Amino acid sequence: MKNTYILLSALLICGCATTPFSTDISGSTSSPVVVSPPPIILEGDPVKIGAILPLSGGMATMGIELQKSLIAEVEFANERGGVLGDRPIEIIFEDGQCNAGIATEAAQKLIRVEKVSIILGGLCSPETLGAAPLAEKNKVVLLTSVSGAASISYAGDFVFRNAPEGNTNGKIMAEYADKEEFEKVVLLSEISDFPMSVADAFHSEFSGEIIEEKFAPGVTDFKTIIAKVKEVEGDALFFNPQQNQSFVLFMKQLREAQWEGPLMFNNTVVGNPALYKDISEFMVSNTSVAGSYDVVSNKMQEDLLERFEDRWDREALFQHLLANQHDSLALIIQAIDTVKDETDTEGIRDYLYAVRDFTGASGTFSIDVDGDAGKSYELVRFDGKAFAPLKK
Amino acid sequence: MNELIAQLLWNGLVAGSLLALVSLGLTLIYGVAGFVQFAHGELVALGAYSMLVFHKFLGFSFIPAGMAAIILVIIFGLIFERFFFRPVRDKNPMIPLVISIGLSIGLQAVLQMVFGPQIQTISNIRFESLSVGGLFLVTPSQIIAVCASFLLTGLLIFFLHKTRRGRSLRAVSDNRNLAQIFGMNPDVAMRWIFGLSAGLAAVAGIFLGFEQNLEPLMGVQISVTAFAAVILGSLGSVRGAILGAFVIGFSQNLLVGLGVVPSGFSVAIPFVVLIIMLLFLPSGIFGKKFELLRK
Repeated sequence: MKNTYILLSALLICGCATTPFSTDISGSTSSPVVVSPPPIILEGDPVKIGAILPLSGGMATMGIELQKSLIAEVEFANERGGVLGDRPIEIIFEDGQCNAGIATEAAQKLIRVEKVSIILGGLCSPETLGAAPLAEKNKVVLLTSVSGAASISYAGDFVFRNAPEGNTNGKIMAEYADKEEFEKVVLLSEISDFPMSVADAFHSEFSGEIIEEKFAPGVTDFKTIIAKVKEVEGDALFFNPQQNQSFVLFMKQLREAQWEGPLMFNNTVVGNPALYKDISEFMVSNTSVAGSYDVVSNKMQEDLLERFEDRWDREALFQHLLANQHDSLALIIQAIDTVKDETDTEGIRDYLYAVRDFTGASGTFSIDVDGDAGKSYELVRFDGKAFAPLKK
Repeated sequence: MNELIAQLLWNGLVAGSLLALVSLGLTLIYGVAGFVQFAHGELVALGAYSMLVFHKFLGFSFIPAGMAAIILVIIFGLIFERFFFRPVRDKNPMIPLVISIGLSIGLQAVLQMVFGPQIQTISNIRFESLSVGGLFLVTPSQIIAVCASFLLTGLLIFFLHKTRRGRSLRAVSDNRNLAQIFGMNPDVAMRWIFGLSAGLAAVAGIFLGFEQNLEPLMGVQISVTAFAAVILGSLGSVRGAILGAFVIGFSQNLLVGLGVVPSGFSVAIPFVVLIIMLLFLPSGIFGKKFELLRK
């Protein structure tokens, strides 16, 4: 019995200890990764900006891609003179692991130890919502380029979002389901902030019947849920994950269960061809449609992708996300140059609230009173290789 | 409805079979070494990744790749025993336990560094599901996993009961000092136990890799569930570990599949079962009468 209690205590320790480790871009375990400014003529002290992204765990593929793009963009900005005349930008990355608790620790470290006054990120909504209270309390500007949870709009005065809200993703999928005259849709959502926002909007907008199932983060065995979902005999299945790795596992098991019927997804599953490698035929035969960022291709975006390719010798994944992040960095640089002091976070905050018709790689947008860029989603359908817009 | 129940029972059997292989390794180590090997889940992951390397990257066909993966993981198990656990074997049981937690975290990081955080598939060959009497679907890898699990479990029980080496392992587990007086070498016993456990973990990892693909943290979930199964059956009991694994495998699938508990609650089921057991039967199912390895 004594041994049982020792074991249970150790289980708790292990549960806490298995998750947190930071990784650099090559994946090594280390303290925070610091992208040092290049040795060029910028002689001023670096302007430190924090970044919280999932660099390990189920969303690491996406997080590392955004990290690589940010490195390329900061190098480019530094080559062009940095900020405030002669000061290079230095990005300090912290691993948020798509987890609110870990992101809070990451924000704590960035604010208390690294003394940053601006944080880019998180990527997952739990990361942004985990970091938001600390950012707000310490008057640190927090700007996410991806997170979609509805509650981010009300997370604080210093919290901004340059990405569409998740509930508009739910709305566009409900409109699609209505247009296709689905009477009964099975909605399968991961229990996390973004999918819950999508699910709430889908519930309020879809006129047909919704059979809802939920799964916890980290679930790898979907066979039982799939058996249950098949029993329901819905007209379509809407898979609504937080992490795109859930998508890979789910789709493999869905195919093995011989699912037949239209498939719907949220934005999480879009943008990485590796995800569809083994299931493309299955996805095409079951008409796979998702809601994705409405990004209009433009020269700035092409240049951004070219810089990524030059820097990392390969084409960028998740291209629709990189444009937003590029624009977030551009906004921050403009804001610092305008207020002339990176520690004047109230000035930077006010500058961001005043942004109107900003044209960047992701298109033209303004920031509203909730700190949201008010971006939208569009419907995309899987064409055998990638998700492509249904319209345009 | 019949189809659903049949499918859930099959899913439960597959889950229980894989879980049993992992639980057996844990209980064997606890039975003989007297501590819980927290890096056992990472040996499961190592088995899966070794299969990936031998089959996909080096081009071995399935059986030679599987054998090579199992041998490699056994070597890792033996290295663990020799260099990390043997030096602290007679110390406070918290010391090897903490070492195993460190090994677990370290191996996760190494797997992530070497293979990246993304999901990998062992084989590009697509296995079609087969319908059994129009009632439920099975994949070839599931059938092999269930058969292999039953075969290995049977062989292990036979080995422990009917062979000289197995009986000596049980003797060491029962009373190490007395066994030493009778000429049994505890170092040899430890090597056997770590090797056997690692081999079982490798087999579980290979089938888990086919079933759910590979990612660096894949060992965490199954090992935590296996801990619950081991405690449920009673720590150190082989039969208890097998029974615990199947109780958890079936209960997770049936309770969720039949709507008794919400799907989102499925990962918590092993721990609810565990809490109930600790409250009402703290020694586990086989705690009193049927302990095979350790009292």
